[in-house]
Formats: sequence, C-alpha cells, structure tokens
Amino acid sequence: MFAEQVAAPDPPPPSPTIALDTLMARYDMLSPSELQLFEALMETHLRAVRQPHISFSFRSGVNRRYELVSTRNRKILVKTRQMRRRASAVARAEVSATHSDTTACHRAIADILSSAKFQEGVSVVPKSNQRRLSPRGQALFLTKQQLSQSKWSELRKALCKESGLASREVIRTALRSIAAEPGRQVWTDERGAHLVSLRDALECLLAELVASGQFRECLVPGPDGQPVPHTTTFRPAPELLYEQHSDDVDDKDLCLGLDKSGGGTSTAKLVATTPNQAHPMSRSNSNLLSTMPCDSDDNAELHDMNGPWMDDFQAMLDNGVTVGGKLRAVRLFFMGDLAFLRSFLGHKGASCRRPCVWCLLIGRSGEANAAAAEAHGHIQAIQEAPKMIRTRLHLQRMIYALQDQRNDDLPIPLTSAEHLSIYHPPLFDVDPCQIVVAPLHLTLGVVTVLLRPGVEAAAFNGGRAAAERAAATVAAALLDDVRVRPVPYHGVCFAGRECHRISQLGAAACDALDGHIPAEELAALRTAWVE
Amino acid sequence: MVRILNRAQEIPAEGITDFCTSVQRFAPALLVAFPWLSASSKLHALTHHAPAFLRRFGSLGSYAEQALESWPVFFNHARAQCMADFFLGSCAQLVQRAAVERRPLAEQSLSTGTTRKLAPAGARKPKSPADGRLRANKSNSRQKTAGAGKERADMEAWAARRATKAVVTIEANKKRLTKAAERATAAAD
Repeated sequence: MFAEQVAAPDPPPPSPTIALDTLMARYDMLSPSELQLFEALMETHLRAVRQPHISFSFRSGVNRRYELVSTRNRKILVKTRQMRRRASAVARAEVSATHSDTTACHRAIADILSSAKFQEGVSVVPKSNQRRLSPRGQALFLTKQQLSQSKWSELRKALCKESGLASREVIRTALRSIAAEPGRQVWTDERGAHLVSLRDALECLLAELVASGQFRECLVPGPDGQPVPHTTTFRPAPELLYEQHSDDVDDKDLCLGLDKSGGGTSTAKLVATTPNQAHPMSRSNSNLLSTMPCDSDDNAELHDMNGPWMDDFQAMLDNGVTVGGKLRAVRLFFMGDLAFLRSFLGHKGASCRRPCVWCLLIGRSGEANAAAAEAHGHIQAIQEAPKMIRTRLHLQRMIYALQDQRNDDLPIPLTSAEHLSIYHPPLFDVDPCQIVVAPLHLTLGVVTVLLRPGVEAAAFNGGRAAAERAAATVAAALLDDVRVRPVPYHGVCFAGRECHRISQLGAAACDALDGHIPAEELAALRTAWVE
Repeated sequence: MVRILNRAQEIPAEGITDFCTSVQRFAPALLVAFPWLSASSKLHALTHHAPAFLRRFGSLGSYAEQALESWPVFFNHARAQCMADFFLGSCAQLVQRAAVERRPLAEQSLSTGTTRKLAPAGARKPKSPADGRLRANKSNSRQKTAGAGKERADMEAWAARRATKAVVTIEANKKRLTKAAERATAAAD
C-alpha cells in the first residue's frame, strides 16, 4: 500500500486591487509581452465601459480631451456633400465641447475625414487650444505688433478665410470702436493732436491696471526709512487753495514730461508715466497725451503748446482720480532733460548766475558774486551741500510777477534777489522736490565726463601727442572690448544704450590708459569707474 | 551707482545708503585727482539732488524719463503707417494708435495665460571661447569689412576730437591758473 500523495492546494489568487496596484507601480519596468497583456486589459475595459470621452493631462501642463465619434453605418464612398455634412457635425461637436471657433475647426476636421476615406485607423483630433481672437482682439494684436492693414490683408489672403483672421473692414470697425472708448478719444486743434481728456485717459489706464492686477502702491519712505502706509482717505477741497497732501493719504504718482524731436517737422510729445505699475519705463506703459508740431521748446512755445493742459493738471490735483472705485490724491512730478526743465520753470539757462533748477547756488565767480556764493554756496564747491532749495512759493510769485513778460527784449522788472534766475513765467507751480533729477540724462552725462579725464591727464603730462595716443588707445578698447561706437549726431559722442554698456565695462577704458597717465591719476579714475 | 540710478523699482534702504555714500565720494574725488575738471550742472544734480530725491521717494528709475525718450522711435517707425493729407491728421493718427496700443488693455486681451519657462541657471552661458553665444563669435554686420571699417573710422574721429578737446581744456586751465597767480601776486604787491 502506498501512501497517496495529495497535492497541496494552490494559493488563492491576489486581490485584483493589489494586482492592479502592483502593475501600476511596476509600469516602467514591464516587458513588451506584459505591456501587450496590459493593452488587452485596457481594450477590454474600454469596450466594457464605452466612455464617451477620455481626458488626459500631460506633464507639460497641456490638457487634452478625446471624444469618440462613431463612423459605423457609414458608407466607404463619401461624396462631397456628405463629407461637408460630416465635417460640420464633428466641428459642431468640437465647438460645443471646447468653445473654439467653428471655421477654425472645420478645415482640420475635413482634412482628417478626407484622409480617413482612404485608410483605416484612428484619427486623433486635438479638442482644445484652438482659440480664435475676436475682431477686437485681432485689432489689438495688429496694433500691438505694428502691422499695417494691407499687410494684414495679405496675411489673411495667404492663410485663407478659414484661418479665422477678420477682414480689413471688420478690423477697421473694431479699431474705430476701441478708439471711441473713453480715455482713447483724440481731437486736433491748431496746436496739435491731443487726447480729449487727461482724467479719462488716466482713469482708463488705472482701471486696466487694477483689472489686470498690475497696480502697485508707491509708498513714500518716512524719516526712519520705512514706507509710510496710506491710512487716510483723500477728501478733495477744490474751493481751497491747493496744498500738497501728506504722505499717509491715499495717492498715486504721475510723471509728466515733454520731449521735442523728429526729423523733418519736429514735434513735441507730452507724455505721462505712472510709477504705480511694474515696468513703468516701458513705452507701452506710458500715456502719450499730445503731439504738437513745434520749432523749439523754449518757455514761450511751451506756454503756447501746453498752457491749456496746465488747467487740467491743476483740476486733477484738486479733485484727485478714481482708482478701483476709490478716490485718490495725485502726486505730480515733472520729468525731462535739463533743457526742458529749465524752459518749463522759466529758468535763464545753465550759464546764468544760479544755474540749478533745484537750489539757489551760484555758478559764476568774481567779486560781484562772492557774497551770494558765501550765502548760498558755489557750484564748484561740490563737496558742500546746497544751502538753500528753491520753493513752490517762489515759483508762484514768479508766475504772478512775470505773467506778461513773454518778450525777451523787455528788461525783467525784478531784481536778481527777487527773480533768482527765473526770467520767464513758470508753466506750473510744482514743488521743486518733485522735479525728477533726470536719471537717464545724468547717466549719459556722467559717462561722458568719465571718458574725459584720462585723455586730459595725458595731455596735461605729455602734450598733444600723448593725448592723441591715449585717446586712440581708449577708442580701440571701447570698440574691441566694450563693443560700442559713437553716434554721428550730438557732436560724435556716445548715447543711449552704449553709455549703459560703457558704465558696466568702464574698467576696459582704465586698462587702456595704463602707461599713458601717472599711476595716482589712473587709480583715481579706476575708483570713479567702480563707483 | 548707475544701476540704482536707472532701476525702475523701489530701492531698499541699504541700496539708498550705498548710493548716497558712492555719489558723495564720486565727484569730490574726481575733482581732486583732476583739478582742471569743473563741476557741471549734471554732476551737481547727481551729487546733491539725486540722493535727496531717492531718499524722499525711494526710487529714481521709476520716475525717470526713459519712456519719454523712447517715443521718437515709435514715431519714426509708425509714421509710415499713419499717413494723412495734412500733418496734424498724421499726428492725430499717431496719438490714436498710441492710445489703442497702450499695454494693459492689449496685453490683457491677448494673453493666453501661457508664459515661457525660464532657462535653468547657467544654461545660456557660453561653454568655451569658441562658443557662438559670445558676442565676439557672432557673425553679424560688424564682421563685414565695410561695417568694421566704418566703425573704426567713427572711433578714430571720436578719438581725434577727444584729444583736441583735451588739449584745449588743459591749455585753458593753464591760462586760468596763470591769470589767477598774476592776480594773487598783484594783490600781494
């Protein structure tokens, strides 16, 4: 008798949940045969559940939605009309799912269905990211990219009507409707072309900044260096004389400036910038208020061109502007190059007795100026701080006293102690501390100044020949190492971005001067460039 | 100093202090080392009024005239597309175009919410001296004979002008010093 061997029972199969978890965890290491099994499982699952759509999120952040479109009971031979109907039906389904444009979808779907006539398989149609800009959006795009309307038409013609690009007539209508919005309306008079309302333009800009979340507060530092928060609501009092609001009042900053330029007929551009935003120095973030053909930007011309605007500025200071439904005070700054600031304030000029538009220091020498220089300081005593700053009150007095003195030929009816080098009526009684010190022009000026002393030191120590050698070496270093070149205007000098580049790589100019000037002077120059 | 002067952001307190210190050292040291230099209005404004403005309002670049100076470029570019029968009509079209193109509206309407990812740190840096990303290795108009020749001629003109001006400045300074010495002698006699 033999003992009957009884086979041990098979272990129970793992739970499907555990098996699926294991499969998912090991997905990256599956062999091709295992992947085939996995695909078979997926097929069985999809046949069983018959999902109307599949959504998938890719790692790149793109979400795709795939919808099942049945082609059963359809003939293999599809005629043009039927094909059009099919494409329209699928396009309608896609539009309802993705809110994309029918015309834009139709062409892609027609192409896919046409190819499907000749080959079997699955067609995959992306169901999202087919966005079509509205005519208004297209008009804004055209303007932003500075495309002409004829170029737009050519583009539309090349891409066909199904591209979704609006016709030139539609674009023109959209542009007209944008241009008719408050804050963007323009009118012309004999002075030039201007925005209709400064307040509307500013409030429109601020509303857009607030809506896009780009508005930022400009808090003024207090005596301790910490920003003073806005805790007081602005209450306009137009019946009282205007006074600058305190630092804790809700406000917004506004910079106004004027620049004259242009080949052919010169034009002066009145521009407002808003520091209450990111990138305030971008041209697209600034407001062009007015463009006026002009011959010069002296004080008399400025009065003719900008006089009417000054009432608008004063009204805005008195009444404030609305930002996000809240009234705010306006802190007004004036900016521009020094020539504009002088003309704006009616100042005599850089070579007059008191050459600074911010303070009262003396720019001339001699016995006649000694007492004044003692009292107010001298421009060449640069280490001494200015002893007296100009005031808004003085500008107000000058506006009143010189309002009829536009004629340069007539003698000024004030003593030098009264006019303080303000020879013409100022356009506006701005607080001098709110006249911006022209940082861009200071940068350009400082770079020009710093390129001088090296060559001058060579001339001082070795005469003309040494100066020529030093200048040639510096020029070669600037060209080869700093890679800048002078502009042909402004008397052949460096301008704009070249100055910024020189200021960053100024050490190259110093290195070039090694051996041309004494070591002490070279060391001082190096220190200045480093600063 | 130049960086703080042109940065369109709020400057932290340490930055303001550094700027004020640098500026107050800059001009006096320069005038001591090179006594023939004279303080211009710009140098004076940089030394005394720029620090005061920065301390008062916390930024200089945010209030600068950079945007103002960039409008002529727009005018030169857009003038061809804004033609009218008379000059003022052309000006009106330019102002209108500038108003329509203003950024928050156009930007907001055209934004799809997608932004380009920043390249990883150091990814765009040149890897070797022969790397095409170095400006010296770029083949542009500077490499052409005519362009390079024009640049060199411009720089030589600048150098010649600079040298002539330097000699004039030094001669004028010497004359001024001589006259001052004569006046001092006369006053002493």
